Amino acid sequence: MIEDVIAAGVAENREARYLRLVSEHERAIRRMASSYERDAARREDLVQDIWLALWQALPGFRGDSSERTFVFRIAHNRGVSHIQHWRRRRTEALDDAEPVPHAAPDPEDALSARQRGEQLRLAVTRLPLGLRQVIVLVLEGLSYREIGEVLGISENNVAVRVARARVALTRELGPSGDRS
Amino acid sequence: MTSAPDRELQQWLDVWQTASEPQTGPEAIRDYVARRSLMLSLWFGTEIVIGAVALVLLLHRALTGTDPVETLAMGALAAIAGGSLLFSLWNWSKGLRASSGTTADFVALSIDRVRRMRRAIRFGWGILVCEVVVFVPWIWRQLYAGPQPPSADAERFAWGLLLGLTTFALMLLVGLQRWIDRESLILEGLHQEMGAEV
Repeated sequence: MIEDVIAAGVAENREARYLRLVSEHERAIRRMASSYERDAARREDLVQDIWLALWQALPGFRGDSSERTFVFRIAHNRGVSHIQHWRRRRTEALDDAEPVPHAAPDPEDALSARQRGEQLRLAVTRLPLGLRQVIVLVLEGLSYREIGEVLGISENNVAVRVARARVALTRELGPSGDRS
Repeated sequence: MTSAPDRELQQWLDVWQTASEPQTGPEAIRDYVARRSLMLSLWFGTEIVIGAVALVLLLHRALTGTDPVETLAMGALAAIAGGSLLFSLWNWSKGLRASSGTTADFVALSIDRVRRMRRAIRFGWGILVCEVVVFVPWIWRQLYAGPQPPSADAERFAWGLLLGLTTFALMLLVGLQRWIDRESLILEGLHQEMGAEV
């Protein structure tokens, strides 16, 4: 796999590779940014910081991990820097005062897909940072091994955090059976 | 994914991944990044050129001047300009280097960087004390060792300069110390938040 990545990197120049990575991961990066920042303007700043960081880091990519892991590492590192930046200014990146709308108990009163998405996003942003990072990567479809490679923790550690994040999310959102 | 993802997690995953986020598109992002990179490079280049020109001029004045007090003043200003230039180079090289290591490594490195800066500040306090210990007797000798008493202007300039530079360095060190203390608290907090759940 690594040989393939290196070969692809040699054949593809920096700009072409960058455009491809942006194209492949833009939606995921924007969703990930929404777990670090609720304010739309600041979130856009964070996303742009991530694109710039990706461009700067690309020449150093040697294929020792998958491209997806590489992109998510950069994005999460920028996310942590973003929190650090706003805490320095005594402003939290995420506003805990915003309540999570609860799911309607009646199945007939089901929420729209958009509302469910918003509800889930809010619940995710309420999780402690260590759980939030892990669950966002799970929701993006990364394996436990890949999540461990992004965050620098063991697969067992990932599994424990996922379990805790799920308990917390279920508590916030209610059992999923109520909404289906 | 996990070998047997259950229904709840799968539902969340579906909801999460279908969330509609406005997209910019790769071409627009590429243009933005090119503009930002150019702006950063121009800013960095301007800062370095201004710092280097100031350093050369001050050093020239310090080395060619005949008045020892002026030589001392220009030398001290050149040292400050040189220090600022080095700090600027370090700061920019850090800012332009994006971390692609794991998030845990990234935070650990940031904490280590803060520790190094703390050590540098302790070193700075030492330099400041040395500066005062060396310059007070030296200025004293320059002013009062001759047969004639110094003029009031020369006295005011020499002591005022030393006091000014010392106060500036003192405020800089105290400011940096406070900034690093805050930075350290924030990073330790983030480190705990990221690892305390297990």
